[in-house]
Amino acid sequence: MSFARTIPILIVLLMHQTASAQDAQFSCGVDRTEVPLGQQFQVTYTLSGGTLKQYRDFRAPDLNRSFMTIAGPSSSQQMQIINGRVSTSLSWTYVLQPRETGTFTVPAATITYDGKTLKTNTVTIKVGKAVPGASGGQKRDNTVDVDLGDNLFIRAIPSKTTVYFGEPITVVYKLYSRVAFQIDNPIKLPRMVGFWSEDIETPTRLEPRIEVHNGKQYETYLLRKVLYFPTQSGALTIDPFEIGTTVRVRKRRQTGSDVYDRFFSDPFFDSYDNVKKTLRTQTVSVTVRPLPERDKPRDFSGVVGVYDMDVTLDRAKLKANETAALKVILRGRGNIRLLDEPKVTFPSGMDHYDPTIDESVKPADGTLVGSRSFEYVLVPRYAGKVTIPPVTFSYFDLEQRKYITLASQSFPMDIAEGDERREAGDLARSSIDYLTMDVRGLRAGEVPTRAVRTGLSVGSMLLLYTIPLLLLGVALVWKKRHDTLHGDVAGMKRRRATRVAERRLRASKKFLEDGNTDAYYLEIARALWGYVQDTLSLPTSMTAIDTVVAQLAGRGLDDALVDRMRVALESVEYARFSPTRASADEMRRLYDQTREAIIQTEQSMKEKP
Amino acid sequence: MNRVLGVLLLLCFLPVAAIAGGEETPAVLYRAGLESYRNARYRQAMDAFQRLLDRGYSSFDLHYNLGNAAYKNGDLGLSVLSYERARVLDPGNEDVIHNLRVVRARLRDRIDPIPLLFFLQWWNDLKTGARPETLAYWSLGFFTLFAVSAFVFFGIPQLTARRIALVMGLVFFAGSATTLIVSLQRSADIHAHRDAVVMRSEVTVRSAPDATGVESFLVHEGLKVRILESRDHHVRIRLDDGKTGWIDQSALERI
Repeated sequence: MSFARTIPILIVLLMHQTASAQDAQFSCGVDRTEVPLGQQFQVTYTLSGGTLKQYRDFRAPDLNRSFMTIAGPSSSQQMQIINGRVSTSLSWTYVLQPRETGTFTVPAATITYDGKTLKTNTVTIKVGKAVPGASGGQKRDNTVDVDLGDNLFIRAIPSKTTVYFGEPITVVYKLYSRVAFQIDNPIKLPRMVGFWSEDIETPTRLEPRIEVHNGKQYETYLLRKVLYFPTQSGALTIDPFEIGTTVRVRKRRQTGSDVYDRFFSDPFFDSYDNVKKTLRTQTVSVTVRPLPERDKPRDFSGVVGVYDMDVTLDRAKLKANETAALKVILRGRGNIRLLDEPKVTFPSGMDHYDPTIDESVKPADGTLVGSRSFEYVLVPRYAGKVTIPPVTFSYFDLEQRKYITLASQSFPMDIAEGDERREAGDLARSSIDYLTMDVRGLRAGEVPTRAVRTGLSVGSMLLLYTIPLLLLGVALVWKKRHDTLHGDVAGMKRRRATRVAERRLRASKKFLEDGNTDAYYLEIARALWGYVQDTLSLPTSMTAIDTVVAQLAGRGLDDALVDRMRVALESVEYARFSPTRASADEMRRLYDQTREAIIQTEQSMKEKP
Repeated sequence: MNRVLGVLLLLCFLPVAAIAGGEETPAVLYRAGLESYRNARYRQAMDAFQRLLDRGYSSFDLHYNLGNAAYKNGDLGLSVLSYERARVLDPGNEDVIHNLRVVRARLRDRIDPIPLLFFLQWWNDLKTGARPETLAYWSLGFFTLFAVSAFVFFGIPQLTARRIALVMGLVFFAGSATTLIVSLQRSADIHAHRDAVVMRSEVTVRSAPDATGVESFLVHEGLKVRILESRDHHVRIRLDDGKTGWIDQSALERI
């Protein structure tokens, strides 16, 4: 292999690879370019390479302009793996049949792939004269373009050609025949753009009827009766309707001059051929006038005809959380199947479910007649009086040529307290409030950090608790030491002195009442001396009255009080050691005197410590 | 040919990609999430926040924002879960409480909780109203005040002061003990992850921990349940209205 020859091969390989990897190719191909009239051929639009997921919007051209579409499009997908590379292709195939001889072009299809619109090439087809017996095994059933003239045809007969939007047109498809024929395929109506159709008569057996058309007598057969409801306004067309038939026609004379031939071409031996013939209706043009914009109700949803409405509520008195049913029935004539559920405004706090829809519709008088009902189940959640506002429904009245809005009455409802607890209702109410709210905005605070487990451990907690306890211990010890160091033991003794003295005085009083004289004198002396010694921080051995009195005076007590104290001390000492028995009155006086002295001293000491 | 080219391209971009991947700091990722959310690309915001969490980052705001993004994206289960997790970190936050109510209003399950005795209700409110750490600090504070009262009682001789100190000391001690117990209970609850959120759109709750158990009732996405026990991939749950039953563990996500 020479170098010069390998380079182009390499280039081709490269181009192929890059093309299939990046670009998708979209092409048109036919199985043959020369087709005899009456035979079929295939057209295939192929998208290859790339990821097929990315394609959308395949648009076939209008093939029916030059050909008849027999079948298609049928799409198929292929995937090949060659040397580890995946190549995929997607194709749409049509089977076409030429209508007449001549040269025709198979038009290009378009597709959107990866944002770009790709267009195929076009292919030229030469249609030659019909070749009898050329199409395989169908020797006798040739589809020959036989001119049957007005002996066999079908017609689409519209009831009217100018209608309002939504106003039905009845189209009768009829076959007119003066020859023997047979219908080959089941009748299929074309799908229509701009109309919504409803078959109203599809005879299962063809019944002939005699009719005169253009001065000739025909046998007519009703094929179909269809109601078309325009869903767009403007100039619309009802597409032609085709059926394939087989017609018996007399065989043509052979050109041969054989004697046997002549003999057999006698009318008695006349032979017939079965010829296929496709019949086609004319295209029906329809002008659809739009509905007037003036006075168009806001809730108008395209319903046209004549209607009335019936709204019922099955119960107006019920308990909360029980169910009621609201039924809306729309009856009338027109495009009743397009009736949408009417707009019902339910009061808040009342749950409702999607309606159950019932329909009974039948064709009559060139339109549809019947009713459509909507049943809503309602569950009021709270007690109280609520009202369902009137249900409204709008349509365009074809007879009066104007919009009509029907309105029901309003439905007051009396809802008693339900069996459930009130709190539950309150909860539901508050959650209904929240239904109308949105979540609050983002929190654009600190950037998150690595999570640190700041778990609570019992050990560390206990450790923390010992701190106040320790502090408490330390503080108490410190307080005690502080008190000792600063001699406040004396202070404490002094503060306790009054209480001790009071206690001893009380004891002495008890002895006095019991008549225990010795114990009485002992207690009263201890009360007084104890008080004086504690108050002045004197040792207990100090019992000299003069020293005590001098100390008291040194504390800044006034002289009268000091004197009083001295008298008390002396009286106690005297009474204790006196040999004569004092009277009960004297003893009581001593008690009062001593107590008074202590109390007054205490008050005085508090004033000037 | 293409393969070689591809490898070459990959080699060219690999270092870049590696650097970009390594340098995607939490701050960058976090801000990307916030930005996506503001531009209503909630799915991407969710992914960004979720990735931060997966990488071990956490904060109250992060959980809160994930909850918002999930809500906007229609993932009510994840939304409730995130808000509940945020609430563990800051139980008193009003935003998160409000948002939880908004999401709960849109859940399919509407559970009326059994009314509790008033003091049990208080106990629960105390438990869920603050972080266990906060409660523990309160407890420590009370304990310190108790110690001060004890010092006054033992150290100060004045009768009135000692009487007041005695009463206050008892009150402080009770307060300290209560908050400590609540804190420890709540802490144990959190660490045991005993609360969970239903993550599937509809789950059947059964009477026994296997597929043969009788179907008791249905729960739906976003419902918060308490986990009572678990046995071979099934857990027994209790709803707020007291209903219990067994459910497949994978249908729940623990808070």
